[in-house]
Amino acid sequence: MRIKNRGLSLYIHIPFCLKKCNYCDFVSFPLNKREVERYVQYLKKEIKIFVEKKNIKNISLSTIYLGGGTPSLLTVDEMRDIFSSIRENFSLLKDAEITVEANPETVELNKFKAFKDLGVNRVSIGAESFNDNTLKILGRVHNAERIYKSFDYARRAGFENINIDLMFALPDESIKDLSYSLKEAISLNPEHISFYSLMIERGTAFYRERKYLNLPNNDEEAYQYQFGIDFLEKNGYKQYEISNFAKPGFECRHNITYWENLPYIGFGVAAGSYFERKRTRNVLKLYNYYKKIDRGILPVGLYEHLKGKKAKGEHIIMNLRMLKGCDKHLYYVRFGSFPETDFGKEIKFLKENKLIREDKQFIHLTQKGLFLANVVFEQFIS
Amino acid sequence: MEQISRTRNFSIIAHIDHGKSTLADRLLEKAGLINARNREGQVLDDMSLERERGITIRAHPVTLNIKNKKGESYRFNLIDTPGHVDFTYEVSRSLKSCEGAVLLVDASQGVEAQTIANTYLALERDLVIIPVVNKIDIKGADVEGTVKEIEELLGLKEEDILRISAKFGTGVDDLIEAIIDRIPPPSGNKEAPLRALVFDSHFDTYKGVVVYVRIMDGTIRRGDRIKFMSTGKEFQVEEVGIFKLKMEQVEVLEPGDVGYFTATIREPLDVSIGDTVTHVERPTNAPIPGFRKNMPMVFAGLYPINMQEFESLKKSLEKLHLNDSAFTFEPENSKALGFGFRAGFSGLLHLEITIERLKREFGQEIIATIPNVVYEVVLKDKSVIHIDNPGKLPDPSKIEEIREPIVTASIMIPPNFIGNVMKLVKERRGKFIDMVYPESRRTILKYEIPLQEVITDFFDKLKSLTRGYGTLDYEFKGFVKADLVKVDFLINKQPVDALSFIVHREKAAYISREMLSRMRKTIPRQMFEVKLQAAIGSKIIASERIVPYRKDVLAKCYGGDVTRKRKLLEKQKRGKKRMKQIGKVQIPQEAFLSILSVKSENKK
Repeated sequence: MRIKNRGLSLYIHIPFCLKKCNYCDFVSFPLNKREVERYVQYLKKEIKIFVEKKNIKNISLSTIYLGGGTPSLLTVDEMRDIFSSIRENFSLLKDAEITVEANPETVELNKFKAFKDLGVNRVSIGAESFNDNTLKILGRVHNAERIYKSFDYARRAGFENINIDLMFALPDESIKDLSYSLKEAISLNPEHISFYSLMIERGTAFYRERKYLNLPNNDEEAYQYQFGIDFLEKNGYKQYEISNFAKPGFECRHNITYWENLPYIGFGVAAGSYFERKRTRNVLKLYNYYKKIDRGILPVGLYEHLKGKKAKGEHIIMNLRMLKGCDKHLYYVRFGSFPETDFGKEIKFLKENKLIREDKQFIHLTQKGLFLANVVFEQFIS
Repeated sequence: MEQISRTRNFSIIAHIDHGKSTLADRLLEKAGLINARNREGQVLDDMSLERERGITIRAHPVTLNIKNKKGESYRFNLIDTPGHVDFTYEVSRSLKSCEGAVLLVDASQGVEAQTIANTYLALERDLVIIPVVNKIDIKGADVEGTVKEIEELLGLKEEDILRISAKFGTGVDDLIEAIIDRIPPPSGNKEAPLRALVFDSHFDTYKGVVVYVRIMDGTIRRGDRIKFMSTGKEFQVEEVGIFKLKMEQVEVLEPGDVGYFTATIREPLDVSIGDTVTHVERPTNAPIPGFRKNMPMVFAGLYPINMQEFESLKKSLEKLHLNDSAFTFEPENSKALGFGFRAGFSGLLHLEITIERLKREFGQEIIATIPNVVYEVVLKDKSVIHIDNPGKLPDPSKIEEIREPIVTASIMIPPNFIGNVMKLVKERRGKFIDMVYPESRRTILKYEIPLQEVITDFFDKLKSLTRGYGTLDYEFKGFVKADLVKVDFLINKQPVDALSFIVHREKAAYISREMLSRMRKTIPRQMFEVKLQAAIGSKIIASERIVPYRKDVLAKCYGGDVTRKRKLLEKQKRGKKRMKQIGKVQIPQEAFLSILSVKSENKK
């Protein structure tokens, strides 16, 4: 795949949910209409401050992604407000990919239609599983029925690029349950499927209850992963990243920006940016977010400027997440050296252990490396 | 009246938390060394490790000037005693510098088995026991029940038992009177040649070794030429003094006194506990009996996890050694583990405490090999060598016989446990020597047991079989021929020299299985299969395998969490750096620690 146009990528975080899922470690707050209204106003202010400070008025955007939280909770007016602010400050490329994440519980046909009218051309539906029992354990607010419905609304609203999020390694799920979810998912014929393993993250309800969860062991988890890969590939979904599969031409361009290690700007609490070679992350609390913006400053909480070998290692790690791997020529253009010069010993070790392979242009994970990607990544951590 | 008749030397025997430190604080207050307001916790215990493990390793003496009810001034020397079998010898030396002991029992807890064991140790040495019931003020105190218990279990008279509250000071004055009245003053001849018992020491950077002594006969002053009778080494005394809260110089130490001297002794090993100090000019011809040479019994290899830390480990060991001369160390080299040290200890607990102290006091992460004893090996050419590292055992074809160290063990128990204990000792290849009944409540069993069998979990086993009443003391006897084999440990077919061990042929398979199963549980799955094997020569006697992990992937990594995900990987990598790499296999410290305590007997 090729990056068609070299515009910037924009991420907007909508940190509100009807209810927090048991496994979720993203920043989100319970839905409160007043709070959402206020938040949208501050998002607009943040966009303005950023564009002015960085002096990038009307810079081109090639992708926009509204994630969360639950962006589909926004009213049509709020959504319109955000998009007009974006259009006022940036110039959208003609073929820009504009994604909105949707929770199956929170969308009706009219809302999808309105989103479409605002220029949204891709929706990502957080299905996670088609087994009602599992959905309950996960703490999702929807059931399988709502997934079919919301998918149908999205199609009827005219969306021709739809993603479905699915999870594996779920509590109480056998390979049979997973197989059912996969079959149901492809029966809807989405253009893109994200297929993640459940991670038990610190600070989540699952983390606290981890002893009591009936989770698959490492062997079973590997088996489920392999099962999913084979199933999706067989059905025309090509794996292009550790957890992402798409019909040809429907790879998510926004996410590829991250893995290509290209710049992006994030707005909203907890949103991350990679701009002017610096990684920043916004503050995590609404109160601090509002306060900083009121003072006319960017609401940055974390700042990191990686240099030298650390920056190079991170570049390779991000690249290797994609199955095509790390383009050695692009690496050279960027850093003025080749991966072999910087990480000769590590690359040799990984090749010996058949975790990566190399050809003229690319270094990429092998099938074994795909399953043991962390072992590979660690080699590039200094 | 002469000072000696107004001196009382005693220790306090008490179970953990029965109030020993609180009582010591009250006595310090009575002597005006501390006042109730500026207490800084309890003064005499100062090693945090000791407090946590509930064992006192080092004895801290203190000299107190205390007035009786009539206002006459007495000198009390309170000597603290360690409480574990690895230190039985140290306890016996500490007790030897006393004429009496205060036995402290918590009124709500009653008499604990360990207390009985220690009381018997004191009785063995003819000390006068003053039984005291403490904590009479607290809720749930059963004072009369406890008194009865002491009477029955220890055979002490009801009217001799005191009732106090160390916390509030109730009855402490009566206790002081009892110490004065019942414990005899020390005896000794000021004019006789010097005889001083060494019962402890510590190292001071400026003064060298500070030698703790109890004077039996004669006197010692600054400038005296003295010698240690076990080694004949001579020194000139630089300073003599007594222990208040800190060390305090005095002119002279006389018979009955407990104090210290320094003599610019730079080598801690020159000072052995139990040794007798006398004058060079007019030496005594009667050293104090019971001296045992300071000889490490248990050996293990100590290796840094990262090779680069060898030098810093060396420095830490040197520092630690200054205050704990009971352990020895010298550099050694292992093919599998790199550069490290072979260190000797008085017992397994001593080894564990040393590892713990290296970690806490010096931040040193180390791994230890399986503890072993010293073997005497007779080669075909009739020459005899000693092996403290099983990896260095010569090829079997060159060996005529292997001899293992045997100890004479004295096991003191109440008679109703004799059957159980005899069974235990038999499992440990013990040879019965004698059984005596000093009185109806206790039996002393004498056995000859291979040291290797004693250093593993023997003491713990004895304690649990006798519900805590048993005590153990042992002394090196000699080397005896035994059917011993060397077991090699292999990781993915590569022998790990440092983990070889020598064991009795009959126990080789059991111990190997036990060890491998422990290692399997502590070594994390790796990206390839790990095979653990134990072998005698080329014959595999036990094996375990650790199946490889199949999946290790961070599922998600998007714009907002690039930094966080990288930090996660960094953390994971740091974790692996703390493991020892043997060949391609990463082995965590816990895997080595888990085999330290492999049991030596078959659970049939």
